[in-house]
Amino acid sequence: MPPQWVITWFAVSIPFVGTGIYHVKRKKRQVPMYLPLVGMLGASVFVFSCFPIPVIALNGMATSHPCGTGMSAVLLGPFVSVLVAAIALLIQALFLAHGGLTTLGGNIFSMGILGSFSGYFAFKLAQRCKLNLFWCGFLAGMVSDLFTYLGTSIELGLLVINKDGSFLKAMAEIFWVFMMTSQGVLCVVEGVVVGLVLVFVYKRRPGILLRLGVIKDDTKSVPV
Amino acid sequence: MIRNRFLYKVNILHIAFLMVTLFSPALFAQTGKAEAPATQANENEAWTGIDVSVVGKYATKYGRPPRDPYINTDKGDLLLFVFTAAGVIGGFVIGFNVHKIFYGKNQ
Repeated sequence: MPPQWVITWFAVSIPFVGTGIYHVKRKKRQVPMYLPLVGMLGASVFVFSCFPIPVIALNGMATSHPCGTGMSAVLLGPFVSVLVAAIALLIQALFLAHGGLTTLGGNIFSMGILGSFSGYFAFKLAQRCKLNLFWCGFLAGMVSDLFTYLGTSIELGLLVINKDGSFLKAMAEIFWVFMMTSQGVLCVVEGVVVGLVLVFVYKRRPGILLRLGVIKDDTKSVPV
Repeated sequence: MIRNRFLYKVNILHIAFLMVTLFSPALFAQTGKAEAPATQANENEAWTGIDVSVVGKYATKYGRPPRDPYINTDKGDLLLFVFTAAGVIGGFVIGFNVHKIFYGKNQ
């Protein structure tokens, strides 16, 4: 990635990571079990995002990985989800040859910021439409995955600007290839996983969702 | 009762998901064609990660070819070890916290 974009993406990402640290410090005092939850979801995002799943799509056989930021954004909030994604991406860049240090800011922007916020708002929108908990989670997971790869497409598309290419054309081409090469299938799988996880948490410990503000009132029945 | 039904559904979905992902070549293989299937023709490209096949391709196209990482673990079985260790540690952290949050005494 050219130096100007490295600096740009880091400049965009760092305030979100800083706000995430502030939110963790504040929420760990308010919500018991918040730190174990951050640990669990942090590890989940790390494992999800370096777990290549083989999928057959229109372009043949390929592997791709889910992101996990939709799930963490719904449960922890979007800012803490950015922080969790940043830590996972840093470890992957350092030790797993997955991602990179110069592209870390760009990866935090696509997977952390776009993935978390799109998943969070998709969940809230689905709740307003009175969808049941599974479908709210499904949309959060699917939309976060789609937006993560849209973010990557934007970052790659921006590279053509200095090369007399059309940004929109390049971005659309790259996003299309992503969707045809297994990611289109995988975003549906990620949606199902997030939906099931939310239903599991609700059935096992609804108080967690209530305290985290995922559901409003435990006394009302939440359709699952 | 409801929980058992839920666990049953989860198990069924889990098995279906594993079947589709692990045995997808067998489930979707096309047989009886005169021409070699695309999967055989592109054997070297089969199961390539899209981070490599898409991001790598376009980054190279726009003048940024991939280079070795600063800490290069892609040597022999070292990468396998690192991924396995990451999976084990990640799995332990997830399992420990799931137990603490959902099944512990202080829940």
